[in-house]
Order: sequence, then structure tokens, then C-alpha cells
Amino acid sequence: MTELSDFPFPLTKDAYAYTANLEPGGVRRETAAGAWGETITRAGPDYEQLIEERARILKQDPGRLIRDPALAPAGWDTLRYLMRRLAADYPADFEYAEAAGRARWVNHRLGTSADFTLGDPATLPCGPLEFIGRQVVEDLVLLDEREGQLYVDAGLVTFASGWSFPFVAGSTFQEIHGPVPRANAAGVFTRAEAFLLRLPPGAAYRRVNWAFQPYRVLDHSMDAAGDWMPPAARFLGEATDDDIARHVYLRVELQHLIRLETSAAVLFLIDTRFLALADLARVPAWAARLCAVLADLPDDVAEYKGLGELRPRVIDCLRRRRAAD
Amino acid sequence: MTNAVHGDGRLRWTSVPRWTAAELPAAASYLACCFGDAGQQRAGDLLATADPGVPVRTAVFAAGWDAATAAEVGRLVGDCYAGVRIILAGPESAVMSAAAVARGLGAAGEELVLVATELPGGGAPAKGEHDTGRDGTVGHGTGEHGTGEHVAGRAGRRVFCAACRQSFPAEAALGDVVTCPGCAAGLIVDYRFSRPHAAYFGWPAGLDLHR
Amino acid sequence: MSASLPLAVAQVTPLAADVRQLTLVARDGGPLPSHPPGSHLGLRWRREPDRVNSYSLTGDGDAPAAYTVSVLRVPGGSGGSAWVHQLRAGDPVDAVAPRSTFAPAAKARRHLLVAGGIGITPLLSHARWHRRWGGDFTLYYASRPERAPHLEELRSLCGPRLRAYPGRDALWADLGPALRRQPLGTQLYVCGPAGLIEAVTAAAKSAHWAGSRLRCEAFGVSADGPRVPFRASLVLTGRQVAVAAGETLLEALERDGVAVPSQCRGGVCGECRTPVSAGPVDHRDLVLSAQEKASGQWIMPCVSRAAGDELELSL
Repeated sequence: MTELSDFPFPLTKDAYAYTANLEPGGVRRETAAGAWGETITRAGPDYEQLIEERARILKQDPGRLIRDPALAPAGWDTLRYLMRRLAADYPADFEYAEAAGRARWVNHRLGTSADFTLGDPATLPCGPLEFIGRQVVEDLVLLDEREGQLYVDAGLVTFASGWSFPFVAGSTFQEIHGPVPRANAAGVFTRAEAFLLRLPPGAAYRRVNWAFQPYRVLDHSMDAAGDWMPPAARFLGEATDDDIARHVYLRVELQHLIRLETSAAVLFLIDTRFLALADLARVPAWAARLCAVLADLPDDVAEYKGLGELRPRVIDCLRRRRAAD
Repeated sequence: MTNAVHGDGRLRWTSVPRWTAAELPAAASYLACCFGDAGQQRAGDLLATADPGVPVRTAVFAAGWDAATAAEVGRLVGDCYAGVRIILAGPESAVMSAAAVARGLGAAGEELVLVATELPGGGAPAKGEHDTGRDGTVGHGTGEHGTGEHVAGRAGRRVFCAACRQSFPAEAALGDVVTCPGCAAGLIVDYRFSRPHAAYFGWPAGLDLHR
Repeated sequence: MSASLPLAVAQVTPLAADVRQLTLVARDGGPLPSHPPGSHLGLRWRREPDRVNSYSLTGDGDAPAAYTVSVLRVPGGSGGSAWVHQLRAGDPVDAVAPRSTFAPAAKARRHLLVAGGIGITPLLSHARWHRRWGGDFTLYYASRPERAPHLEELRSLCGPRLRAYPGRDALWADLGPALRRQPLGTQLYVCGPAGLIEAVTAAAKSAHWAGSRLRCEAFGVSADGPRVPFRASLVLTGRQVAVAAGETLLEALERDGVAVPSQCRGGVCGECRTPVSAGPVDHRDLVLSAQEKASGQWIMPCVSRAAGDELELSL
């Protein structure tokens, strides 16, 4: 069962346009079903399940974690940032205290704790990025500024959608965003990068990405295509209208971009959320807005967002559900 | 996603290498790594325009790419001083592989002079057009070379196997199926190119059942 | 984007005849924001008109208990450094949260730091960072013998990695040849008087260092342009909105109850695009094209301002 009240419904207008859609993070946003956005990290009811799924994926494919020794300070910066945020946003679940370089971390949700020295890898069971990455639900990517550009150098990504982190690691921000239709012609990524390069230490911004997929598959990466593509292809061929309602999901990525305070690296956090069409249709305002946006979406954008042939059936499904209410 | 060959519009904004004409930049010293005869020829042509007295080191390799070549290129780059410009000349796939080694060792894009003697799609760059310089990155591409069709055609490329996470050489057009020598998987050659791996992404073939 | 920070002077330490070190703590005794090495702190030394001078933070920046800045008294300047030099322990200081424009290059193989006079301050912060994280660095520090702030501290911090010179000629005797024998992947940093920055930039260029290998910090430069108060007239409603130096046009409009859609509040998303009917615009956004900016018909009020005293908006 999906929790609607804190779902970050991504559409704020009836028409779709490619913009940088960056806004300050940590700001509460009201929706037709509730509100979201006050926290930068998330540890909801699905926390334990997501942590376990991440651990399973990493065990099968350790290559989803990429370290860079030159970015060790950024790794510690990330660990401290996320531990502080979790402890501040969920004080009953997490504790973090630090004095003179020594830190204490308690994770009540997982029943673990650690006493360690910041910057000293010998005091943790693994590197800082991996240590904190295994305790948050968000994918983590670290970007370093050099040659006037941002390079994607390190991170832990188990829930990618439509890309492969091991394939692109070491590339620039512009190179990675190449295959996005229309956005590049609109200069969206050039502006977004310029904006990120000017972020002052400690600043946190966010944006929301969305797409559709059959089945609630978290690891939708190019690396795992062998697992999710055959069922998805069969679905396209065989789905009934009821299947569409129950098994087509709106996949939303709530992304945060943070200029870390001591290392000056940019931390990219991606929180992946799902909403089945049937659940989405229970919120009339959302169903109406989505219909309006999907009706006008250009074909190449629709395909990029996982719709393609599904589009008319998705619109149909939403309209039928609305008529039924 | 697997339908890799789209119209010109789609390929324009991808990470596929694009080539622009450029001149030999001034430098405190040059390192030229030449892959094959054509590479050696083109590097020589460029270096003939260098200021006299500027030290030049030249290394010649076969036109392909292998671990020994990668190690030697790495050794040569590691010995360079600040102020160097590194010329990499040869077929696109060797040049991009050497560039990945150089960047991995800390060379900046500005310090590399990339010269492709053969491009994917067949043929050499037009006479008089050096096809040297930094390959145009997405969004900043200047002086587009050829059409989408041209870049997509059959030629020597390196393909990245998602399962092995290794790259291997293959004669393929974008959208062709090739076989990974490591794990025998059939892979469809995608238009997505990674500069650090200097290879095109290979999707497991046979997954896209519906289309 | 420039958060204000209420601080207080904890201590004033003379470092040389005309150089003072200020130790600043949070006025409420709370923690201070961490910052990357090479960051600068803005100190507001006058209101009406709003004047802020930026000084490089000399500390490590990692969970600091206090901020330290070393300030050279500039005779005949606009008055900022004189104001700093009259501060005493206990005085309140309004600061702007640290901004980072001169950080170390994380992936450089080696760091070559060049400091002239008071330009040592951000590079002291860099040296602390490299000592902590094991970076390979050499610091060339040229200063007048009677004014070499932090020299002793640097000797014990850097050991043989510090090369100190009593003047420019001695510096260049070593630095000139050194620029021609650094390994590929060395990053060069320079901070000091304009003449030194120009000279190092020229020497690096003539030694064909790639442009991206050089990071400079010039003094007296703040990250954003000056913010001067102006008036905005709303042509369609006849309202007048006064925009103070400390706020953006968007903030002033919102304060006066004028609804303008906005999203990023940082000049990149285009949401707050507002039509202008008169008045030259000081464009500071990343959205408008060069033609749009030149036409003077649009403004992004979240970051841009009037170039003169007044703007007329079609609101």
C-alpha cells in the first residue's frame, strides 16, 4: 500500500516543459493529498526494506559502489552531512554527536551504532561513503569541480533508472545528460551546471524527475536490464486494463543537490518513490493533471519517460477511474 | 532504449564523440602517441608546425589497443611535465582509449590533442580537415562532422559489456549485435558512449522481445 | 543565497605593525558553519549604504570553534580595514556566511601555492588542509621581512614545504624555474597583490600551463556585485516599491504583497521572469539570452537589480 500523503507529486502545471526546475530544498510543499519536502533525507516506513534491498544489490554487484581516493574528504563530508540530517529530521530514530573530531552515531532503526574518528578510515568497518550509503535510502553521487565543469567521480547507486553508474563514472555532468531529448536544445543542463558551480557551501537545492514503468522495480538500471526488461516487454504485449491500473507505476525521483561544507564537492541525493496508477487515480486532482500533461507530451519525451505505446492506455485508465468516482 | 539508431536529431545531443578541426596548440613540450601508420603521418604533419626548440617525444604503436599499449601510454603520460600537450593520433577507438588513460592520470582536456584518422561509419576525415582537437562534448558541440547516419555506421568500435564491465573491440554499426569475448553474451551496440571507458554501451541482446 | 551570521569578536591579536588577527565566534555561542579551505567571510562594516568587506578564513574550516581572519590595514581605503582595526574583544560583528571561490583541486597530483604578503591568508587554510589529508604541496611565500604574518606558524606547519622569500626577486629566482619542472597534474594557486597575480598568470601562460591548472584569488573582490538600493515602479497598479541593499527585488515585491511566481530564487529556472517597461537592468541571471538582456524588456527579480536608481515594471 502506497502512502499518498507524503508523495512528492511532480506536476505543478497542466503542461510539461523542460526547465531546470531547481528550487531550494527543505521547503514544505502542499499537495492535493498532503504535503512533502520539509526534510532533505527520508526514513519512512519503507526504510528497513529499502536498506535491505540495497544490501542485496550490493552483494550481487559491488561495482555499484565507486570510490575515489582523491574524494576521501568528500566521503567524510557526506557521512557527516547525512548523519546530521537524519538525526535532526528523525530524532527518535537516529542520533549523531561529534566533539574534537570524534563522533558517535546510533541507528535505532537498524539497531546499530558506531564510535569513530572523522577522517580516519581505520575507525570504521568500511569507507565513509559506503558506511553511510548503506544506511540511507537515497542513491549518492559525488561530483568534483575541475576544468570549470562537474565530474561524476564517486558514489553508491543501486536504484538507477535508465542509466548505469559504473558506465558513466568519471564522465562530466554534460556528457551524462546528453541523451535527454529536447532539454539540451533548451540549454537546461548548461544552466543547471552553472548554477551548481555557484552554490555556496551548505546550500541544498532540489528537483523532481518522473517516468513510468511496469512493475515496482527499484533497480531499473541499465546494469540490471537482463532482470527487468523481459517482464516489462511481456507486460507491454499482454497487459489488460486492470493490469495497467495495478502494475503501471509513476516513478518519481526526488533529487537533492548539496554543496558540501568542507570539501566543496557537490553531493547528489536521489530518493526514488513509486505510485501505482490505481492509487494515483484516487486523488482526482492528480489524475486530472496527469491526463492533461500526458495528452500534450511530445512523442520523444513520452518515450523517454517510459510511456511510448502505453500512453493512450494510461490516459484511458485515469479517465475511466475518474468517471467511476 | 535499444533502438539505438535514431534520426540525426537524437544523435546530435548524445555523448558520441564529435570531431572538430583545430591547430597544434603551443606547448612547453609535446608527447605524441601514434596508433598505426596514418596516425604517425598525421601526428608528424601537426608537429611540423611546432615551434623549433620545443622538445618532442614520439611513440608509435600498432593501430589497435591492448593492455600493453595502455600500460605504455600510461607510463609516457606519467612522465610528462606541466605545459605539455599530448597528441593522440590514430583510429577513433584507439585515440579515445588513450585519452581515457591520460585523463585517468590527471591530464586535462585542454592538454590533449585528439586526431582521428578513421571515424566510425568508415572513411577518413575530408582532406584539409584535420579532425584534431578535443572531441566536442554534448551541448557544446561545434563544427559537427558528418550526419547521424555517418557516425552510426559500421566501423571499429569498442563495446562495453554490462556483465563483465570490460570493453572489447568489434566491427559494428550502432544497433548491431556483437558477442562479448569475456562471457559470450550477445550485446546490442547502443549510442551511449562513456569517455572513461572509451566504449559504447552494449545491452544484452534478445531482451527487447516486444518490438 | 548570502545567509547572515551574527558573530562577536573573541580576541584581537596583532601579527605585524599593520596586520591584526580577529578571532570570531557565534554571538549565541552556537556552532559555526564549516567551510572549504580558501573560503572568505564577509564582514558588514557599514549600513546605509550596505558595505561588506571579505576576508579569507585562515583556519582549517572543519567544524571550527571560531573563525580567524587576518586583516591588513589599508591606509586611504574606503574605511573597511580601518573599521576592522578598531574592533575589540566583545564587539558584535555582522558577517555573511563563508563563500568558497578558491578551493583546492581535489584530484591534483601536487599543489603549488604562491602567496604574496597578506595573500598568505587563504593559502594558510590550504596548507592546514593538505597537512590533514596528506596532500603533496609546496608553498612559496614572499613578503616584506617586517610584515610576514603567520611565518613562524607556517614554518612549523609546513617544514621544508615552505619556501619563504624577503621579496619578489628572490621569489622569482626559484619560482620561475620551478614552473617549468612540475609534473603533469600539478595545480597552481596564487593569492596576493594584483601585480603578483598578473606576473604568476603570465609566467604560467608562457610556460604553457593549461588555463584550468591555475586558480587565483584577487583581494577586494566579492562573489556577487554590489547591491545598491533602488526604486521599482509598478506601472499597471501605480505602486512604488523600495528595494533595500540587503534584499532582492523579488523579496521586496513579496514583502509589499506583490505576487510574483518564483521557484529556484537563484536566477536559473526562469519562473520569475517579469516584464520591464523602463530603466536599465543589471542582469545577474543565467536564463535570459544576450538579446533578451540587451532588449531591456525582461528581468529576473530573484537576482537582478536596477542598473540605475529606478526600474519600471509592467506589473
